Order: sequence, then C-alpha cells, then structure tokens
Amino acid sequence: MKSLTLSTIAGVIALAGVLSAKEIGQAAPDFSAKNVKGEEVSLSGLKGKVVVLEWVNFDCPFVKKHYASGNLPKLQESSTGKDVVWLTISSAAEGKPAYMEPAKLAERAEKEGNKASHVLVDGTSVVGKAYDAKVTPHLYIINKEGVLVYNGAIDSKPTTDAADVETADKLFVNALEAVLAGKEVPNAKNQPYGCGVKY
Amino acid sequence: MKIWSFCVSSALVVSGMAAEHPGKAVVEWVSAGESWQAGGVVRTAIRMKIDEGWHTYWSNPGEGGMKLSVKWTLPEGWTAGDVMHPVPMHIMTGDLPGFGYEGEVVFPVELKAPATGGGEVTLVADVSWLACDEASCVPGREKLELVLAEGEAKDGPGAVVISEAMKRVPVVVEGVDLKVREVEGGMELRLGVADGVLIDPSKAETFPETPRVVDAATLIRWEKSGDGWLAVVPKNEYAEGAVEELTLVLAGQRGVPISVSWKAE
Repeated sequence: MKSLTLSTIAGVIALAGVLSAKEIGQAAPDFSAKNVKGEEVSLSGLKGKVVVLEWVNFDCPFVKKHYASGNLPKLQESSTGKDVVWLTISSAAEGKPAYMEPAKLAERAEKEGNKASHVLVDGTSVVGKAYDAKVTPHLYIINKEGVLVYNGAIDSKPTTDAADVETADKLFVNALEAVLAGKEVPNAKNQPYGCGVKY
Repeated sequence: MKIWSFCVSSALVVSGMAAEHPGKAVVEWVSAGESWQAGGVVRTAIRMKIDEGWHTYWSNPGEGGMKLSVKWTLPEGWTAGDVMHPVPMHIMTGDLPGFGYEGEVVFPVELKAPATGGGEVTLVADVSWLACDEASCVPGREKLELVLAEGEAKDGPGAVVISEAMKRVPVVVEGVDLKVREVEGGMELRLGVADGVLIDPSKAETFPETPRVVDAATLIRWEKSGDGWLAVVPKNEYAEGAVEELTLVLAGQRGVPISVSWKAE
C-alpha cells in the first residue's frame, strides 16, 4: 500500500467534501436498480456478501472477447458458487443506441452465456455514475462489510483478441481470491480497458 | 510501375459510395523496394486508411482504446524493429479522452535481414487494431504478406510513402531535455530547449507518450520560465506510486516532431 505523505493527507482532507465514496477502502455507494425481470436489487440488501459489479455492453469487442472465450461466464459461475453475488450492469442511457430494453438485455445475456446473479438495467445511468464506471468491462469488488476493495480491469491485456485471455495477468481474479481469503487486495485500483460506457 | 504493396483485405468496394470496411479501415504493407540483401535493412510501413467518422489509436491510447498490435511471422534470422507511431491528435471516444488518428496514418517499421542467406522470402504481419466512433468500437484484423526477392536495394514508389511518414515520427533531438517533479495537485514539467532547436513550445502540441502518467484529458501548455519552459499538469488517476518516467512528444509548426524523455534518478 502507498505510504501517505503529509501533502497527500492534506489533499485528501481538502478533497473529502467532493469525493463520492467510490474510492478504495471506503463504503461502496448504495444503490437500488431493477434487474431484467423487474425485481428491485439493492446493495444494502446484500450486506454480508461479497459483491462483484461488472459493467457490460454485449456489442463491445472487449466484452465479446471475455464472453466468446467463456472467461466471464466461467468466472460468474465459479464466483456465485462461492456465495459471491455477481451483478452485471448495463448503464447505457435510455435513448442511446447501446441501451437495451430489459427483455432484450435478458435474452442477449442468456445468449452470451451470462451466469450472473442478476443483470441490472441502469437506464438512467445512476449506478454507473455513482461508481464512475468508465468502460465495459469495468469490474468492482465490494467486501462483506460493504467496503469497495477493487476498481479496475478484468486482466492486464487491453486487446480484443480472445487468445490473450490465457496469458494475461488475472488482475480481477487475483483480487477476488484475496478478498475471499480475507487478504489485502493487490493492485486494488488500476486502469480498466474497454469501450466507454454510453452515458 | 505499380506501388509495391500487398493488401489481402477482403473488403468489398461498393461502387458509387464510400466503402464501409469490416474493421472500419483498410491496411496495407508498403515496402520501399522489392528486394533484400543479406545484412541489409528493408524499410516498410503499415499504411492504414480509416473510414470517415472513425478513429484508431496512438501507442498511448489514453482512456479506453487500443494501440495497434503486429504479430510477426518472419523467416529465420529476420527481425522487425519497433512499429513507429507518427504524431497523434487529441480524440474523444464518447466521454473518454485519448490520442489517435483519423483519415490516413502510416506506421513505418524496419525489417532487418539476416547476415547470410538469399532467395525469395515471404514475411507476414498479423495486424490488429481498434476503430471507434462516438457510439461504438470495432476490432480490425488483417494478415498482410510481403514478398521480397533477393537483389540490390532499389527504391520504388513505396519509398516516398515511407519518407513522408518519417517526417511525422518524433525523433530525439540534442539540446532538448525534460525534468519532472511531483507537486501538490500534479506534476511540474520543465522543458529545456537549446538555441537553434526549431521548436517553439508555446505553439507546439504536446502529447504524453508514456501511458498512465499525465491525465489524458489535459492539454499541456508551456509557459516561459527562466531559461526554459514550464507546464503544470494533473497526474493520471491510474498512475501507480511515484512517477518514474515520462516521454513527451512535441509537434510544432516547424521542423520535425520531437521526442523527449525523463527518468527518475
């Protein structure tokens, strides 16, 4: 972990008023959004569980890479098998071409092999903006105490080639394993790669 | 004489309208000449023509985006140098700031022949890129082939394309130096420019080539400070720990674009 110098401490204090709570080590912003079946899902209702947030746009080539290779479906399946709640979120704004109606998003998620606990429709982009989700895929992990512990990329190779999945550093997987083992998360914040979220 | 280049694009050209290509660009591999000699260097370039309304990315793509990638399949003893990137432009992909290209872009690359050997050779470049517009991104991929006969080096029309492209590739220039210091709220960049160097930093466009150091949305503006130039810029939100190195590209109205690097001692 970074050592805090006096100036960064001063900076943090100065910024505290404008920082939303999306920083590592802080309480993850609460939210409530409807899943594709129309059921309300809230973060506060998931206290006590490790929660993964995955921003999605199934037409983005970086997202396709991780669905076509089976990487994301496998991760979703293995994680939910360990009592992790996995939320796949589409924050494309209603009215933008990337926005999908809930039924259509549900159909697409199934076709792509998505195995998340819920697929959420964030058509007002409220959740995406609360977390400052930048790209698809962009991944976050929230621990059992409701603290944000990972904000970053799925892996280390910012390409669209499915063959790179095997050889990339598994940044997200390493983070999730650390969280489940109660260890400090390595590389807790890093630059995610992908297509911009269509706000 | 035809331009010595090979293009194995499967794109169809629709007559009477601008062609839309699957990867939103057409790439070809241009060579300065048609031949090679043992121990010699063959000057080539990847030429990319990007569909209107789309863009591709620089070696530092900024937030989002992806740099051009080339996987080589070369005969034994051949090596490929770095793919050289010309000066980019500031681009926005939706809300994400970055650096890239529109229209036509040419990436020079030198191939080094082995010290011995001869005969005809076939070289393969598997090129991948990402093209984006405001709303979406599309990956592109082409396998390009270059066939060279053994013989004395002789420039063909491709040589002009490459020479022109080289004028936009930044070079390290004697007499230009950079110093970086972290300050409250960002970084202080100090640029030294010796007399006789053909660049006016106050009129140059400056791009951060090293990814994740300078915030990608920043327009770097230089102001005269003592003997040199000063710019204060915000640090990239994804910079890991203390800044250890930075390479900047300065493109002015006169002279060649300049590359200047700094490393922490």
